[in-house]
Amino acid sequence: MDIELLKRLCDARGIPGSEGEIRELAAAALEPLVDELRVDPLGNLIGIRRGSGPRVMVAAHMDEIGFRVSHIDDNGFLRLMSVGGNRVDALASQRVVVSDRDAIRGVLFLEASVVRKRNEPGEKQAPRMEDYYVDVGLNREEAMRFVRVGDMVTMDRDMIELGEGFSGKSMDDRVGVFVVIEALRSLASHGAEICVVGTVQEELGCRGAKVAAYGLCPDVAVAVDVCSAEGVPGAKDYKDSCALGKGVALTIVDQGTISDRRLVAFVTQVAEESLIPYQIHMGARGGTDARDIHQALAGVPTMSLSIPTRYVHSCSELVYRADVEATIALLARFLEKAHETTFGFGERLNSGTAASDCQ
Amino acid sequence: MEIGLLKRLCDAPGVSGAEDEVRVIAAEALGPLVDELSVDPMGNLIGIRHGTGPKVMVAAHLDEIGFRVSHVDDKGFLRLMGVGGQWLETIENQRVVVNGRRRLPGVLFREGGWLRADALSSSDTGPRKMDDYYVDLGLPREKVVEWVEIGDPVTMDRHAVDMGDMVCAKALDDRAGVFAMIEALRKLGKHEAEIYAVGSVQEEVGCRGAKVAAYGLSPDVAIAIDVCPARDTPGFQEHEYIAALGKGVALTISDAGTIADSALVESVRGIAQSRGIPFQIHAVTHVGGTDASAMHVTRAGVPAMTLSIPTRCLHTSSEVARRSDISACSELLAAFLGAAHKAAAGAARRIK
Repeated sequence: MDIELLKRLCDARGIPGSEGEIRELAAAALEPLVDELRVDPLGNLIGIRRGSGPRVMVAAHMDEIGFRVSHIDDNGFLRLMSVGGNRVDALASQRVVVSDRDAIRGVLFLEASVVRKRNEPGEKQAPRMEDYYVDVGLNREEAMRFVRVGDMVTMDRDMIELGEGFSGKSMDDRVGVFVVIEALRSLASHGAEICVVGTVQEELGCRGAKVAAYGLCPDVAVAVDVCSAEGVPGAKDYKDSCALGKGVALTIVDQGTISDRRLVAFVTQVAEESLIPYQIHMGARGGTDARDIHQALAGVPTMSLSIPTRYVHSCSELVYRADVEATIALLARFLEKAHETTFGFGERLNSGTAASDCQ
Repeated sequence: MEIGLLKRLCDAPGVSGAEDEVRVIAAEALGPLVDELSVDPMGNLIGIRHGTGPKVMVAAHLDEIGFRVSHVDDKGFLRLMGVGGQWLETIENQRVVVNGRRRLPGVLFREGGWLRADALSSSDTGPRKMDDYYVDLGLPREKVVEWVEIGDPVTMDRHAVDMGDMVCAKALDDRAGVFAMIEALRKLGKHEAEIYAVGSVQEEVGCRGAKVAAYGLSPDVAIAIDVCPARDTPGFQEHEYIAALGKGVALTISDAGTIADSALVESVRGIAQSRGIPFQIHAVTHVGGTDASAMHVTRAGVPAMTLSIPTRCLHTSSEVARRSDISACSELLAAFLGAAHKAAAGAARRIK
């Protein structure tokens, strides 16, 4: 496994709509692995490895949750707008990077009046986004030179190897992007036409995947993303939907998607045959690009291959090495065998006008 | 200003009672600046620059707030005991280092706190308790117990960085003070005072190091170099603006632990004014405390005060201080030490 690449992907900054840096990294890694490589109008990175079989779309999103600068006050302190599902009650004393023009560092902190109020007995109000400010160590005039309203703000946490895994600010979903690249690297012969997509704006509602699926018109699709692993203190056993170290998670249902049963059955069989550790996962919360892909055109059989992750949407998301390896292996073996089945082609409903829109 | 030294001091782990790494760095820097250098029974680092005049003790504490491992559970998660004044609302979702037989990185989370990861509105509010937090090392229990022992010190994993003219780091409290003390000795010209430069231990749990060091050294006058909370950030009312970054070294005339000797404060103020060193007066009665609190009640009493470096976000992993204030602090300390043989005579009010 190319840990160095995973680290570069994870440390790159890219909130929805500002995925440029991560796209460049992913494009450089994909370039030798595909026959065609392009960027679509919304910014999705699309690589195609030709084949004669069914068209398989593999999506992993490039964006991460974060913030944008919404205001610069008289003393040079910044106010932020949240982008994506931030846990806004747990941001105090986090370090951030304000980028777009120059990358400058700052500290996220709670307004004093809010801290004071929080310490009053009986206070129930959790901190809200507007209670935070960023100190960049500059007065207003200096701050205006480096920062504009709208600039991207991301967490300042580099990826490290931690115990049996990796911890970083945006495993969600750089580890997915990484898995797709590594799977292509280890891919043997295949019959399927493989379309790998680094999607944009997943964290704001799978907007990139939606248009990419429309354009690619796939016969079958797999989203590679993280899923929440709950085996931590305070969790009830019956809430454990997947665990670190037990292999790739086959997501059969989450809040956005009910996975195609034939596809799940086929992938399960591939995992069994190839002796790849896997677990069945039902996600009580969250969703992946599968949500918009499976509803594209007249419908696409879709599922998610998920990497179990603790502390999703924190800046210390934690994945295990063995699970990442299992996900890479399963995706590669699946792509090699994807032409051996039809995924219910006969039942496809999009052979009429919609087909003419396909490229 | 050798900013690299400040960063090395800040990045070193040194929870109260486990200050070894910080002491090594400080000793290396102090070595060439003093005539004698020793470590006392409690671990205080004591540098002596000889002189004929009054004995002046300068103290900056080596330790930082942090944690110790209190329990390893069945799954290998660690529980912690807080060391010093933790600000519990700022430790969730932070990275830590366990400094045991191996240096292990871990992540600090709150029990059940991250299970609603995708829920935007959390109903989970109210005051935090240390018991709610745990450390995930990403390791099975067998590995954890092999490398981690109950009592191992745990510190925040944050590196010092520049932010404009400011420095952002864990443990600026009080490595900024240790640094200012070292810088002052570098800047020091002629002096008559006998100078004791002390890197004290265990300040964060009650100034225990300074207490015994002061007893042993028996100074005529004592100055603590520490940080003080700056209140120049959003959410403070104007009348609450006590100590602000960029306005110079703070002369702390009172805090929760010490009322500074007023004659000493006047001497120091006079020196700052005559040298054109920027300073501000810092006076609070209900919060904070420094080694001065232990030193001024040593033996039959020692005139003492604190020179403070205004710092934002105190007791978090991203404390922020301004270089120009640190500089002003070391300059004023150097100027005072150079003039202490005159100033201290007027300041001390020993009872015979």
